[in-house]
Amino acid sequence: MDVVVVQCLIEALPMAISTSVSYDGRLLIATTSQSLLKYALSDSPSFDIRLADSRKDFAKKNVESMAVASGFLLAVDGGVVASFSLDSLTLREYIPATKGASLLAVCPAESREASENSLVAIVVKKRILIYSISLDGSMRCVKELATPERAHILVWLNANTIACAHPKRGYFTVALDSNSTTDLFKFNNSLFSAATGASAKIGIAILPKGQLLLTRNNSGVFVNSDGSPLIERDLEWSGPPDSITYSSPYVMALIAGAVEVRSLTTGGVVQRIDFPGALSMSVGGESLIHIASSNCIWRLLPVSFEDQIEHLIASNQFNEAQRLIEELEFSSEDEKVLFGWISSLHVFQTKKKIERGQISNIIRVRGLYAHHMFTVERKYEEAISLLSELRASPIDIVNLFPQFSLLGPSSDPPVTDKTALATLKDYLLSQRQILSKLRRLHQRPNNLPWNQIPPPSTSPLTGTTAATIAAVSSLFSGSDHGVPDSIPIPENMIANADDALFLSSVVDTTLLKVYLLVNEGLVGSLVRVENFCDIQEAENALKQSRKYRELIDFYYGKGLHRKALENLDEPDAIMQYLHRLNIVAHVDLFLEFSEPIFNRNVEEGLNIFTERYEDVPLKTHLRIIDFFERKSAQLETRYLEYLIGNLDSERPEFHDRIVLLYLQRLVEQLTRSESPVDATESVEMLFVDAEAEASSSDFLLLRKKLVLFLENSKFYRPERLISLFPDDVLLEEKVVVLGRLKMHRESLFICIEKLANFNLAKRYCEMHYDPKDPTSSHIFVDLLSLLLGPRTPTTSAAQKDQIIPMSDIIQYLIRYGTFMHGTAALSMLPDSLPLACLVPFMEKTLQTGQFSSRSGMLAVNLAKMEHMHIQDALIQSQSALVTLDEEKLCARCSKRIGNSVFACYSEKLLVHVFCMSK
Amino acid sequence: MSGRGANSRRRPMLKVIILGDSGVGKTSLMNQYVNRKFTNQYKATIGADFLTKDVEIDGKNVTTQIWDTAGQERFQSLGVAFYRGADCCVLVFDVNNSKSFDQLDSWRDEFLLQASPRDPDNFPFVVLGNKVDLEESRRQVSQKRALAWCQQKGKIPYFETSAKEAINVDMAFQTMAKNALDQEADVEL
Ligand SMILES: Nc1nc2c(ncn2[C@@H]2O[C@H](COP(=O)(O)OP(=O)(O)OP(=O)(O)O)[C@@H](O)[C@H]2O)c(=O)[nH]1
Ligand SMILES: [Mg+2]
Repeated sequence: MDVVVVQCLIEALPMAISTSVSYDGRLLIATTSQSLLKYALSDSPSFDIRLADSRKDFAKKNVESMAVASGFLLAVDGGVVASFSLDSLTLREYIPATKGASLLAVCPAESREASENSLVAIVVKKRILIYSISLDGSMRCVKELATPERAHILVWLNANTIACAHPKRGYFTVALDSNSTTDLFKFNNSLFSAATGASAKIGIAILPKGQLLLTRNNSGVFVNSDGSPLIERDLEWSGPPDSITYSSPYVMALIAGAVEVRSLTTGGVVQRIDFPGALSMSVGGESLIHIASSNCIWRLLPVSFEDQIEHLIASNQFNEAQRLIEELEFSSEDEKVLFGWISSLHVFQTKKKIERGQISNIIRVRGLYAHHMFTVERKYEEAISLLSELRASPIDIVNLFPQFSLLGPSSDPPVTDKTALATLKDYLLSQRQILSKLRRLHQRPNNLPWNQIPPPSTSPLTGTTAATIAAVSSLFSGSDHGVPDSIPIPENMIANADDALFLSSVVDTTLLKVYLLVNEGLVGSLVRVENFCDIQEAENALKQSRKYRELIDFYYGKGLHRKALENLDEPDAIMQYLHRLNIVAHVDLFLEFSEPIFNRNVEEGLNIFTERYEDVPLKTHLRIIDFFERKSAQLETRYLEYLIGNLDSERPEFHDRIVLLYLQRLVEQLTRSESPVDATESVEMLFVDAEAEASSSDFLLLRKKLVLFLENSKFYRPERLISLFPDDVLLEEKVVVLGRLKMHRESLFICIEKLANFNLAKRYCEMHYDPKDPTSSHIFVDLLSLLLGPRTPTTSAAQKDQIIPMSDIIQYLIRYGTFMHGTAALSMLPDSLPLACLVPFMEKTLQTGQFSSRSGMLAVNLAKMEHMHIQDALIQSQSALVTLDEEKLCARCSKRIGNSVFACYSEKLLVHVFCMSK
Repeated sequence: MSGRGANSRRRPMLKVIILGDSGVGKTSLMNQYVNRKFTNQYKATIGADFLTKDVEIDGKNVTTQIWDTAGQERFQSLGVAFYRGADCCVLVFDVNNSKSFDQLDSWRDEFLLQASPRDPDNFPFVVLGNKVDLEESRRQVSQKRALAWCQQKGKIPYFETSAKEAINVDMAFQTMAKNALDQEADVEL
């Protein structure tokens, strides 16, 4: 994999390069012919390099080492350090005290305070001279350090420490303040013992965290800056490096004309680039690695890490990709530990250090890895558990299965592996639980500090919100109840309510499809409990698998009753379904879909409407009546009978309507039969309370029903109904209604003149007689006058013959005489009547008269007695004696009675008359 | 979780889960069965809790582990793992509370979803209509109605119980253990 690409800066220079230095978009080259070339580089808009300046003979001898500090160029010119102005490239001074110098190194700017002068370390034999360079370029020796050997390599670790290497002695550090030397690694140590000698190639690379990589020939060891070895790692190069350096996150070595890039963690070779004739490698401007041969200079541009990661992913090297990210972003061990927790909520408590982008990067890589595991390696369980550990969206997991994918139809074959489907099923079930908690969470915004939780992507989490999330998740997990397997809500799922619903729909719909494949027995359970299955999809899936019962249950759960009913054709099934519905809410469906039930069995049809537990409002009743009215009068009657008989409805409309329906049916039957069914002897039975005989005709039964209803119902409106009754038939019924209207004369007229039914008339009078009501107090006399009066011309021929015999009239007089006004009755009697017949009547009337006058007298005398008793008591009370003195107080106002007018209660309580009246 | 398998020498363990609306008497039934105790005081169960009891069924020694759950919290608080490996599920309702009976359907369905038995139609359930000791006038669910439901759901055994007066409690749990054991035997074959 390419982690760096090569950019050629100088190619085929006609002079030989001795040394070079680059800084701030400039490149200075010293040639063996003592010339100095200054190039200007620019990277934007596109890379460009041009010669900006040059000096011939700028040095006296060959320049071996150059460095830039504080706007000055320092060069070791023939063993003496010289300084030049960077701008003009003119010589400022030679520093004679540095005679014998072999190497110089400027203390990196990041290691010192900005206000301080730059420091440069110059190796002069077995000494290191530290010079300070002031802004005007004047150099002053501030320190002289002694070293055990002449340093061949010198690097600043920090402003106080310099690390050196000597091919025989080994590696050591020198402290500026104490001028003391500490061995990092001495070559009489075993590790390097195999290859000792002056020709050994040595190198030092500074790694993060104060660690160092020390190389000698092929071998490399890692040490802390105090020299303590990090034994768990070491590094073997393919050859002895001429130079090594660290460029995050790799170490690079120049080995025999090639650059080798190695991973710091694995030590493996990441990239190798040939640079024919390359002699040196150094970190230059923009912290880029520069490579120089005798006539070329290249620099290494790091491939953007994202591109590197992409590359690794493309070649399925997921672990490498993940490691790269880890190497890149987290050099500290603590932070690496965090990655173990990446999937847990704890990460948010310490997460401040981590950039969100880096986390998502890792998640993405691991996600892709899981994807690879799933699709290529077919490690289904591992892949799904990795993804759920990463809190991947359920959508991602569902999409792993082309047959369930939300991305639409795919050419990939469906995943039918049993384990894969079982794993998916378990995963979806657990998501169902999480989502149901989530939905409840959204449903009760008042109970929870919901608004305190910021959307995860917008603001960094503070300690409080992390605590809130923890609280929220513990609230909904069973963990604090001692229940196993608590399910905290993943932080990235605490999205908005709509998302929760959408995810619920994805999860449930997929679960349904999975069940259809792996465990059909559970499909019913899923559609019956609260579920968020997509209606269209569930419908299709269930129909395809011919799960019609489940389809109906699904519709029921979703409240799609019309659809359910449309899919039912069996009367029994429709009946069962309707029985489960609330008739108030769904009366339309009842009316629309009950047809097949009625067609099969009218009773069953009616039952649907009458066997209800709910309180059905009038509106619904009216709808149903209207429906039955159009269907059949018989059904309407049956329903009204249910309303009035079973539900005790007192609506006058219902009562009127049922009377009308009964009447209509009777009239209809009358007109249908040739001879009127009206048999007089059976008419008597109409008014008998006993159950109708089994032999009675339907017609008669109905009449009895109507009469019974008219007599018992208090809610029909007789004034409206009376006009509906025919004039010549069903007169018995009409009489009942007339009675209700107190139209007694008309009633009795019908009884006597039209029906010639004396018994009926008598019964009528008994029922309606009321001495206190002026209209009803004289009905017995009215009847008498009818009996005795002239026959009207309307009387039919048949009835004319049936003149009521006088003996019956006299019986009547005797029986009911007491309810008649005696003189009025007497005056009506025909003169021809023998007086003897009237004796029993007179006796009875007189007895009654006497009885009432005696009872009257008794009452008067009793009242007088009582009056006297009361007067006596009054006198007693008034004669009571009350003594008044200064202490007597009014019982009301508690003031003295004194001379005021007072009243006395029987218990000898005294009050002011004034107070009493209050 | 339950000591399945021929190689397990220990006595077999049956995991039983009791479900039903809050207040129907799940905890009371378990207490009556295991501890022979009853209290009129109501203390809602939180989460879940279990008691064990050793029983002898058809000459076989079996440990029943009876899990009592909270009627108030529904399923969400208990994970799938909790229901997995259940050998029997006891559904309880209060015969004096029609709503608790109506809920049986959803308790059963939710249980099946979570436990995911291989053969849901033949999973051993037992239905208990509890609190039959109260006056007949308070009764809202007839024996007929309950039996019809049990019949329709695949011949689930039905018992009318009283945790208070220890009516049918032993019998119900005994039947439940037997059915669960039979089921296990079927699975092993
Ligand atoms: N009369 C009578 N009361 C009972 C019976 N069983 C339980 N109870 C009472 O009903 C109430 C509720 O009983 P619990 O056993 O706590 O109910 P639960 O089903 O465990 O309720 P949750 O824990 O909320 O799900 C208590 O007051 C019991 O005393 C019974 O058989 N008869
Ligand atoms: Mg309980």
